[in-house]
Amino acid sequence: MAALEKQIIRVDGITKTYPPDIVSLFQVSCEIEKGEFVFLTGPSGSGKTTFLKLLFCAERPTSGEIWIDGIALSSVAGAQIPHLRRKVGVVFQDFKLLPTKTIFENVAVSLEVVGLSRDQIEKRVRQVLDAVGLAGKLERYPLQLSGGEQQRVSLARAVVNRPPIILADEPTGNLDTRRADEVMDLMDELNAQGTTIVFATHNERFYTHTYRRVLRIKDGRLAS
Amino acid sequence: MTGVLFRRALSDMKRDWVRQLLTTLVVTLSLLIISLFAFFTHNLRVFVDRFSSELGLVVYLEDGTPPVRVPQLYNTLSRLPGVKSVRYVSPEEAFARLEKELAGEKDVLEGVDPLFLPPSFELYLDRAIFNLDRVREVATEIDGYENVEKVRYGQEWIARLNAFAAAADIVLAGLSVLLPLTAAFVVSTTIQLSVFARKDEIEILGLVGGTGSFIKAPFLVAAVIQGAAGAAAAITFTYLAFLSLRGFLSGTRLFKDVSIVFLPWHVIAALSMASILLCLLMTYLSIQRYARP
Repeated sequence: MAALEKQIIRVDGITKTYPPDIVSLFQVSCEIEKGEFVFLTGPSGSGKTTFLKLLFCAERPTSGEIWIDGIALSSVAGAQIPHLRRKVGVVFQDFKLLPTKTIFENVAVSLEVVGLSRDQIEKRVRQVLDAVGLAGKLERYPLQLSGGEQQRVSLARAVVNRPPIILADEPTGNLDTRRADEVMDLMDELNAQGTTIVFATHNERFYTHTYRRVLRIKDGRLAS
Repeated sequence: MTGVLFRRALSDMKRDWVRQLLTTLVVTLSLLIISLFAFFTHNLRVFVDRFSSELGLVVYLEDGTPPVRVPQLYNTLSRLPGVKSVRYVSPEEAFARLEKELAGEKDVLEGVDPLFLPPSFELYLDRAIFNLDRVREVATEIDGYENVEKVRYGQEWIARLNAFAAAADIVLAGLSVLLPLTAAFVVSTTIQLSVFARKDEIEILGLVGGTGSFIKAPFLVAAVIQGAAGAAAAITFTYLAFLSLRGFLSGTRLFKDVSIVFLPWHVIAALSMASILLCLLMTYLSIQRYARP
């Protein structure tokens, strides 16, 4: 029972297929504990992104079950998905920022959806942008920033409403070594504060000499 | 909550003002075609109604018809089915009308007996019986009455008006279906493209936990504003067209008695509602495609 309480993500025998008969994930099972930092690795097309998509309900498994913070995702109706997503911050390789909104507005959107007041939004966004080193660029637009800075904005947006889980899908894939290390440092800080992180990457440099758990996916199957 | 919603909608519209303006322009132009068409058909109907009600029968009485016979005939004619009203025109009144029509050339009537014109009845018919066969039937019946010299009616005019009204009805019926459908298609395509251009935004709002109503509401508010603004602009342009057409026609001899009327309020209200509802519906359906959880 205590073990179950410690698990924040539990994946039980999930399979995901796409028509006509493409198997993206097959019988994948794993548990991730609260506050854990897990690397998810594997070659391109191995199923890492699909695995993450299943965790934040962008896709539904063909079979199997996923529990997020004790909630079985198969029981989550479409209208409840937004509420579940507020528990899961997602960082994408392509940042997914809105080019017509300022950096401040891009981050604030995560708080607007939960209905915070203007004052609270202002305070929290400034805090988080300060924490990722972008305090002086609130009024800039994404395209006026470097790739590393854009990824930090994406990270700020994912963490600003303090979700217990962060899913990062190749967040350093488009960055040079220095910028990638900056993002990695921010992830370490978040994890040190108790946030559970699932970090998908095929950059071996990050996990070769790590003490952290590494989940390897190959051809849709979990290898370790 | 409503305040926040309007602020978000207005902020989005301000940020994306070029696309919003173009969409509103397309709505305006599409609706302008419909409202000008409605204006044209409405005036055509008014004209045909007025013209047909003014076309009637003139029943000339024989010379020497006893005065006692006039009220008898008046009553008989008034009771005929389809006759809206009957007016007696005495020889004196007929002469006065002729003098007025001749205006500057009334000298030709000098020395003419003012009672030389026969007395007559003018019959105004209901629009409901306005067809050549029915008018001919009424005329034939009256022609058989005692003391009736002859019955005249605008046989050629009625035939032409009937043919015109029938052709116009077919064309208008076709256009009433075709034009709104075309306008709806153009507006819906424009709105779909406009929403498509913001599909990334819709996707991101969903990924950060935005509910369906949170994502859709500003789009729907913007749709109402676009629909209302497009309708207001189209109706304003139609009104300006009405004013200039009225000014132009009032200066011509041919149309001096033709009065142009603007669209009635219920048509304006229907056009505005249709514009708003179309924008709302198309926006809703377009977002629905991208805002799936």
